[in-house]
Amino acid sequence: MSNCKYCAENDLIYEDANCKAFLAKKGHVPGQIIVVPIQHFTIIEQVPDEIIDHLILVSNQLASVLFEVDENTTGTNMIISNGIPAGQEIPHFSINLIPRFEGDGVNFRWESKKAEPDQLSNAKNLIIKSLEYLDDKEISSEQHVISENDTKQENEKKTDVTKTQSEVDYLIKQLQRRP
Amino acid sequence: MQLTEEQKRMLEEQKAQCVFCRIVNGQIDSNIVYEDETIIAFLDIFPASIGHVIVIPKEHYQLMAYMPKDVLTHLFRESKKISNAMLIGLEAKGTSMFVASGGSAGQVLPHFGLHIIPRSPGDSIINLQYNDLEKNEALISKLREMTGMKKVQKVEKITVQDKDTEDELFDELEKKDNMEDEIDLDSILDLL
Repeated sequence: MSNCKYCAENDLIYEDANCKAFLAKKGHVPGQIIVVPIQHFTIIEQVPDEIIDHLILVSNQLASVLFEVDENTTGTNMIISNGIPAGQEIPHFSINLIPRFEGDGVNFRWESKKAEPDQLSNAKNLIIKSLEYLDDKEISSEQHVISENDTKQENEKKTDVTKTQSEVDYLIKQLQRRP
Repeated sequence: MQLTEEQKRMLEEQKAQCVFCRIVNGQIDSNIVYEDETIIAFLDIFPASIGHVIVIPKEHYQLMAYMPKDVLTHLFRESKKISNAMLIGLEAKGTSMFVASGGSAGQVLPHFGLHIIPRSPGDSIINLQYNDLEKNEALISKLREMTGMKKVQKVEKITVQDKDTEDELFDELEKKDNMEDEIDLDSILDLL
C-alpha cells in the first residue's frame, strides 16, 4: 500500500523476506518495537497462517532482545489491536512489543465486568458454533483476504473492520441458516 | 535447559498451585471454547467484555520465551481462529490480543496466557494512549546489532510448502538464546 505508514517504514531494526520490525514513533514506552508483515494486511484474520507463525516467532525473539538491550526491563507486553474499536491506528496488521519497567506508570489492565453464568454460557456457545462453522467451511486466511479494491476503500475511509464487517454479516447470515 | 532436582521440585509445587494447570486438569470448572492435545481456550470469569477468552498451553510454561516453537505457533493459529469466531458469532467490531510477561507487565499467574478480548466502539477497555516517542539512534543501532540485521537478507519468502526457512532465520538469534540459559534459570528462581 503506497499510502500506508507501515509499508513505507524503512528505519528498521530487523528485516527478512516476510516481516520487518522498527521502533514505534508513537506508543507507550520508549523502545517499543512494532513487528509487521511485509505484505499489507489489516487485521489478523487476513494474515495467512504461515505468516502468523513467522511473525510470532520473530516477535518472541525480539521480546527477549528487549530484556537484553536494557537491564532495567523487567517485563514485556505483547499487544495486537485488530480494528479501530480495539485501538488500531494504522490499518496494517502489527504486533506491538512493549518493554516494561517497575513504576513506568503504564497500565493496560482492564476493569473486570460482572458476568452472569448465562451470559458466559451463551458467549461460549456462540464462539464454539462459529469455530465449527469456520472449520466446516475451511475458511482459510487465503480465502478470507479481501480484494485489493476493498483494501483501497478501507484505507481511504479507515474503516477496516467495518469493511470486513460486510463479509462478517454475510458469515453470520450463513451461520444463522445452519440448523 | 537443565533444572536441578531442587528446581524441579519447586516447579512441581508451582504447577500444583497454578490455577491454569488446575483448569487443564479439570479440577476447576471453566467454559471451554476450544481444546486439543497442546492448548486449551476458555472464557475468563472476570472478563473485560463478555466473551473474553484466555488461550493457554496445557503444559506449564511461565513465559512465552520458554514455549517450544510448535506450541507457540499452534497457539497463535488457533487464537486467530478464535478472534475470527468473535467477529462472526459475537458480532465484535474488533479484538484485542494481549500478553503480559513478568509482574511489571501485569502478569498475574505464572502460566503463559493469551487474552483475546472482543471489542466494540468506545468500550475503552485497554488504555492505549499513543504518545510521541523520541527517536533514539543509539538504541536502533544496538538493536540492529543484536538482531544481526544486515542490509540484504538471503532468505526465501515463506510459502506454504517451505517451512524450513523459519529455522534458518532464527539460527543467529538462537545462539543468543543458548547463552541466555543461565539468566533464564535465575529469573525462574526469582519468580518461583
